Amino acid sequence: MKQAGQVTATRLDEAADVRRQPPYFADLYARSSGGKYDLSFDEFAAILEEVSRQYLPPDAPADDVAQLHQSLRLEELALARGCAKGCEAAWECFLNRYRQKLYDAAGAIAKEESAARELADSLYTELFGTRQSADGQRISKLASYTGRGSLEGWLRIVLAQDYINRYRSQRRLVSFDDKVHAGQPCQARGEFPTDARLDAAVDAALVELLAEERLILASYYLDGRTLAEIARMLGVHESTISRRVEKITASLRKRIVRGLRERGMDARGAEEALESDVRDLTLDVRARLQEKKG
Amino acid sequence: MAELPKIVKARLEQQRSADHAEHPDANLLAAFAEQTLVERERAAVLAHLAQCADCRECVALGSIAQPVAELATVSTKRQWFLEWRWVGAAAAACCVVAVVLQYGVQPRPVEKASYTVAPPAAAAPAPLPAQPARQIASAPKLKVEHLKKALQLPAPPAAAQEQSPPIVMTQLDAGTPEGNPLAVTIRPVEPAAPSEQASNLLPSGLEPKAIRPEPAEAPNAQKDIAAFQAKSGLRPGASGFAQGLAARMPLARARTVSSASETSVLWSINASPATAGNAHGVVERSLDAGKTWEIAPLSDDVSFRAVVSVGAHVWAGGTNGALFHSSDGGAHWERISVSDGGVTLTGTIVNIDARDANVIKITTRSGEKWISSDGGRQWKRQ
Repeated sequence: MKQAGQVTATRLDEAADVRRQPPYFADLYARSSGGKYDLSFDEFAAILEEVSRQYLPPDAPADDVAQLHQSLRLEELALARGCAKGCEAAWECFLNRYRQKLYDAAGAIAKEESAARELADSLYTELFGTRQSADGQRISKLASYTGRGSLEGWLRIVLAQDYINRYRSQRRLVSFDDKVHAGQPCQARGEFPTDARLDAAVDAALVELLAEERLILASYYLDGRTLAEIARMLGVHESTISRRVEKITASLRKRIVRGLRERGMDARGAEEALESDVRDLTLDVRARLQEKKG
Repeated sequence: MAELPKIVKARLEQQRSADHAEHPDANLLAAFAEQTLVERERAAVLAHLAQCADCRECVALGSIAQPVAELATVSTKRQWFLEWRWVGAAAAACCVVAVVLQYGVQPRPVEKASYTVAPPAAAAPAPLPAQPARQIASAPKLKVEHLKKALQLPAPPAAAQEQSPPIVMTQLDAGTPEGNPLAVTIRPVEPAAPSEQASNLLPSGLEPKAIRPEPAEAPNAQKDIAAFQAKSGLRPGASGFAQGLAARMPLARARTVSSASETSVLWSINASPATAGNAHGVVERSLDAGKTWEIAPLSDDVSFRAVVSVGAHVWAGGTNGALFHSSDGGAHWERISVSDGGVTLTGTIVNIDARDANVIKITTRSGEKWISSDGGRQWKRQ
């Protein structure tokens, strides 16, 4: 429990913080319409400082801090924080603006009506806040919105995260037999013996990839995403992704071959090592067994 | 799409499970999807997404749920060049169409059957086409049959070629002074002011003007002539200009027209198709404004090249200096001997200009000019 003197000292510190607030805060507060959602200037300023602490190092230049504050979605930030605070006007506005969008987004993600409704309702519960803090205040998920992107975009990402968590938890319940019947491969990682030189050359080539190149490769070849989906993620045209996949794949292949030659393989051996991987030797045991049975 | 070697996929998958203890929060992922992160933050999120399949899936699902309108906005920022690519293609197509319209759809001179004469208001000749050479270049559509038709033309006079009113586009030149119709060439008309001689060929009150080809069927020469007269405003009986014009008409059955009265009597030279190889011209008369034609009873040994009428007086001339005159509208004819001081006209008469019943001017293919001021009794060589 805090002593009276400590409380007084804390309030004095807060007052000093308020006095240290940059002058542009007043302008940002006016632009946010925070007053409509029962947010005082001090509360709004505290939110801004919380945001800058979250995304910038403590010794960040004042210009960077100001630039970050200026880039925030101020009105949506005030709305979300007003909802988190329990403001009726904020909730009314939120429901008017985002209720239908939320259900639409849930439908696009879940692709099934009942699952989509369940997903959206679940998020509504979290947004309203079912948990309570130590002082009895509801903890709303909207309190974690920082205004970096649009509130609608944030809601979509949160919906997607919830959906993935649900899917993952359900996937854990799928039995080994079901997985086999579904035709999924059940091989363990690193099971196949490979030439160490090949592994080294591939790893070295992958390390040289740029982050975006690696993202494109992983999305296309590992996640099985379409070119259009990857293009949408990166905000470019589908044809751009198509060209980049071709270019990255060719470049990667050249680097691996070069790495293999540097490790003592001749050109033909390098090509063969890259092509004749044991993973290509697929064996359909079920089909063979059925053949013998027949 | 190129296939990635299996080992690369396997190593890529193994590396993705590396340490990404801290995922970007939903705010950053949303801002990444909306392309609003600063470069430093975007690079950090990209590096994480390259390793973390779960966050990739979040961003992908969030992007799938993104309304189409927002996607269009995001896409427009980076793909402006794609729009301009189509604008460029459209501009190129417009250029092609413009070039085709400029050079490809030019009227083909040989295929045109009739000519019209601009109103005789302006004194100066109409300007020639700006680029006659290109117009000629666009004329390869000229076909063999067109040339064959052209072979049936009476040979145009050399003098008329040099001093004729400027005819637009191209003209057929039947070549040699001997009248070899096989020597057909196409040449652009050189710009030239109308000479005194060419002006003299015109009927009074009519100035040389640009003559533009109009589409018409080649065999319908009678219609062409009627249309020509209607459009040209030529007075009947004053046909010198019409003769010069008709000499350039690249028609199989081009007629040199002269009218004996204001209403219905027309005279013409018709190149008979039966003698197309020699372009034998006969004099024909129409009493019904060009609907039907009859051959005038003149010498078969002469290939007529020009005919003109003034009132009841009709003059017809052709090869070997043959000149015939009728004073009764073509009922009776007499051959006129044209000579001056012992020199007799022997060349081919290609043009006759009769201003009235007494003043007659003759032009030959070689450019000789003979004038009579007493109705053809005495001639003077110029």
